[in-house]
Amino acid sequence: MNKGLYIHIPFCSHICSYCDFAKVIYREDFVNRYLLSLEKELNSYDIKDITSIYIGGGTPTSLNLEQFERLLIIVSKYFREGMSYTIEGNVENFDVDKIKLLDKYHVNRVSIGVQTFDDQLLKLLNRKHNKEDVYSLVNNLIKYNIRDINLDLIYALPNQNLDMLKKDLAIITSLPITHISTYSLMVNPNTVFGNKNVQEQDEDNVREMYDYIYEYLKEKGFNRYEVSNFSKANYESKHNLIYWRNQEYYGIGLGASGYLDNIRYDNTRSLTKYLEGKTRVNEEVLTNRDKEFYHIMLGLRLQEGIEVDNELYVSKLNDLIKKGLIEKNNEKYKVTDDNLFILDYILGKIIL
Amino acid sequence: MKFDNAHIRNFSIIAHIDHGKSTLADRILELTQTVSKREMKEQLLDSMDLERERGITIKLNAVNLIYKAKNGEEYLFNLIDTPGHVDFSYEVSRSLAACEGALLVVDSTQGVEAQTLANVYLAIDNDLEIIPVINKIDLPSADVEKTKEDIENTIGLPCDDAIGVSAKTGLNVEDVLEAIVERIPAPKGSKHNNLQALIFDSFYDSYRGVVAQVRIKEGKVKIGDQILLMSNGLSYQVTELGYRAPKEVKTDELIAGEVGWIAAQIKDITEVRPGDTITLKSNPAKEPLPGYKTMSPMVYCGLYPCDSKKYQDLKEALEKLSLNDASLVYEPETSQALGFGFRCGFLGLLHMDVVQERLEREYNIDLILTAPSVIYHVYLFDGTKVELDNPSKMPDMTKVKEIQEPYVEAKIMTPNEYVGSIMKLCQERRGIYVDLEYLDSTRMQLTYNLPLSEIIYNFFDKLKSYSRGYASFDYQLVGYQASKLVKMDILLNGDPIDALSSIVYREFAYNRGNAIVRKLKEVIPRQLFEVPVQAAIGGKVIARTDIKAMRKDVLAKCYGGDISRKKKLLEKQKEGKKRMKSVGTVDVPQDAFMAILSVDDEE
Repeated sequence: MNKGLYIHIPFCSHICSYCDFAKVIYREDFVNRYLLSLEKELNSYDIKDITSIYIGGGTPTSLNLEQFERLLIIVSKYFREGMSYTIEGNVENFDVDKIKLLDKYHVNRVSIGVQTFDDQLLKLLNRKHNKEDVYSLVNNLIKYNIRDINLDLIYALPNQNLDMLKKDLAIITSLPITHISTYSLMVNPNTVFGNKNVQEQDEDNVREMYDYIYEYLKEKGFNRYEVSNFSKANYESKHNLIYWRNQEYYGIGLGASGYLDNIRYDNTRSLTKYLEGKTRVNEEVLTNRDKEFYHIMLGLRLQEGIEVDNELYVSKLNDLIKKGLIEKNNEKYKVTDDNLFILDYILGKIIL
Repeated sequence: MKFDNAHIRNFSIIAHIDHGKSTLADRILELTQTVSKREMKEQLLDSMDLERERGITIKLNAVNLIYKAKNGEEYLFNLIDTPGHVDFSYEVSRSLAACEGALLVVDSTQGVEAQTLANVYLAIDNDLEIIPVINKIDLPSADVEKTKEDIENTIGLPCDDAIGVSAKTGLNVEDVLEAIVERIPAPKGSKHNNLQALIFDSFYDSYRGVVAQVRIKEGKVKIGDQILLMSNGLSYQVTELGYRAPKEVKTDELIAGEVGWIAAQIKDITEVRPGDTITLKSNPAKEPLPGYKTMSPMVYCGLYPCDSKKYQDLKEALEKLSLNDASLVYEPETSQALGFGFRCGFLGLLHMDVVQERLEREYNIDLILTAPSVIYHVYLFDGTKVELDNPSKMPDMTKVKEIQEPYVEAKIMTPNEYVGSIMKLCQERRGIYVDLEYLDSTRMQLTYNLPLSEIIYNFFDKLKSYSRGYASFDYQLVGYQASKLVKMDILLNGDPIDALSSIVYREFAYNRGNAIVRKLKEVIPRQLFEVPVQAAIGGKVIARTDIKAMRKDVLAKCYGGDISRKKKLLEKQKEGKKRMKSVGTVDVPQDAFMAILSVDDEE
């Protein structure tokens, strides 16, 4: 019964060009009301059996210091010894005063949206920091006892070539961090990039970069334990593993999603409605077949692989073993290393 | 109620698509109070959904109307509808042969179109009295005088007494009805002569068997009569007679001058051909009515179910469709690439399109069509002749002495300024110049003899783009001629795909091969492995391109909120994949087999 608790803070001090999450430009009075609604929603659940807490966004660190502490007070009462407790933040508003509060309220892991160290590309993404800011933030986190640090990195940005990516990788691996999440740029509709009709790089380039990242990070001691996630030994994200292992999680806050009692649900993405007390808008009640498929769809993202009993799926997996796309070790099926980047194609062959 | 011949008028309406034929027919039905406005929608002559959507008539319908004329007498009108497309011109000519007159409807904002012209000539051939009706005179852009001039110049039909109407508002439509009474001749023929009934349409009904729509030219027919089909000598006993008003009304006999239907428990629609003559077995007519032709399909293509489990469904659907469509022919065939399916013959591309849509829509079968082919006559050295309707069945070329292909005479009507580019198009398509004539000061008619295969191969699209949509054309088969033709194979991943084979003019082979492999690269998605796409003639590769291996197909970011969405997306993609056919090791989308038709050699 390892459940997760996810809490969404939608506020941001500015909007990044690629972002399609539930987000709202920071306004002090909205945040105050939001924290009240959030507390109410948390109280509406009988939260138990959790092994991890994750405060994501948006930008949790866009809150002012007082609000930031209130958030930690509200959430930290769910903390128990041994849990993984992560908060996301952005470089430009993760100041020392906020950092000092983390350890006090048991936060033990931080995830920072760095995206790139290239000043030109940062500007294109509408990010407000530079690489020196990142260095000092990481140093401060460690100074105040946060040693489990993830940095997000985006690659295949417009005009970014392999050499530019190599520079980013050299810098990121020189920092004292434990975890790297890295994604190729996705241009979604209703984002700044989408509106500007920015094109994603061609799939051959993206793949070349992905393969390079995999090899380079492996050499630097970062293990790819999921399609886009790399960590030092024993520093996998415990919270995110809950998603991929198809385990349950509470989703609290604007636009958050949860999975409880056989139901996958989404909360409203309208701030007005959320502040009025509206929470869930979509619910998907899962059949056994749905659950099995989710188990496969999510589990095959992982290096550790999955066990599969259903014979229909087993026979499809066996076909894929013949094609070299899947391998089976110790009763577990996993995608072969070279083929993780065509996982959706593989899933297409498995889906009933 | 029975009418004597002097009070019967049989007529048809000739018009280009959109010129207002259906609207005028609706107004006439209203004015004769044959149907109330409320019933209008379901009572329209065009009854298939497809006909309504495309604004074309595919199957013929005939209705009886009663009109009280200004002279105080009642007249029986038989309005016989005609299909409006070149694929069906034989059917048009048969239904015109059932009439004494026709309304020629021309849109006063557009003038005469090539299609109308073809049908008017059919009407003139059948000695019909033609009443020009100039429609849409309520529109600001209407130019009645110019339209009259147009009709006089292009058709040679005097327009002094043309009637200007608005079918939409009903303006002057009554004048049209009066003109029908006054100008269209009453049917001749006598009920005392030997029976001659012209079949102008037939359809299948599961209770009554084949129902033949007929015009009684001479004599009479009663329930219980033994009738004889003069083209094939088959005889049947009449079980039902009737006419449509427009609902079916049963009657005991039909006599000379009348239009109605005959049912005689006939099980096979192919026995009841439009144009054939029905007479009485006991007292037959000396001769059949003139003009009977058997119709033969002009284009053939392979029709395969996307899902091979649906073969039986497809077979049943084709059986049902062909009950009502004598010109649809099919026989089972097997393709290495596509499995079990049928080779089907059609009157033309529109006919093919209509059949495909009906199969997909009414019978819910996803289909793969191979590119249509004409029938080639292949003469071998040993003296045998092969009629080839499927390019993949081409005999070994070393045995082939000569290949002949069908030619058509195409008449293209175009505004003057596009003549140059259209002539260029016809030359590129191996056209043989026949004639160029002025229709009036702004338009010309070009006549070319062209291989039918070149017309099938995106000719119409090209013609439209070369003339900014203004040119229109019509064609008819003129015979076979020898050509330097070769069979071109397409190979995917080294395997020849029979369903992609085509017959091409030797000099065009290189360009077309290149265009086809490029097109296939475009429509076939990346596969797990790199797939070479090759065009080859007799084992020699003449063009090649490669479909690259799939390199990325993954949702990079998948956290709590992405999970349900991702599953839905995968399920949707799965639905899309069902429309793919695994051909050897390659997944090919359903439309790739037709895509080779839309390639552009010059690109």
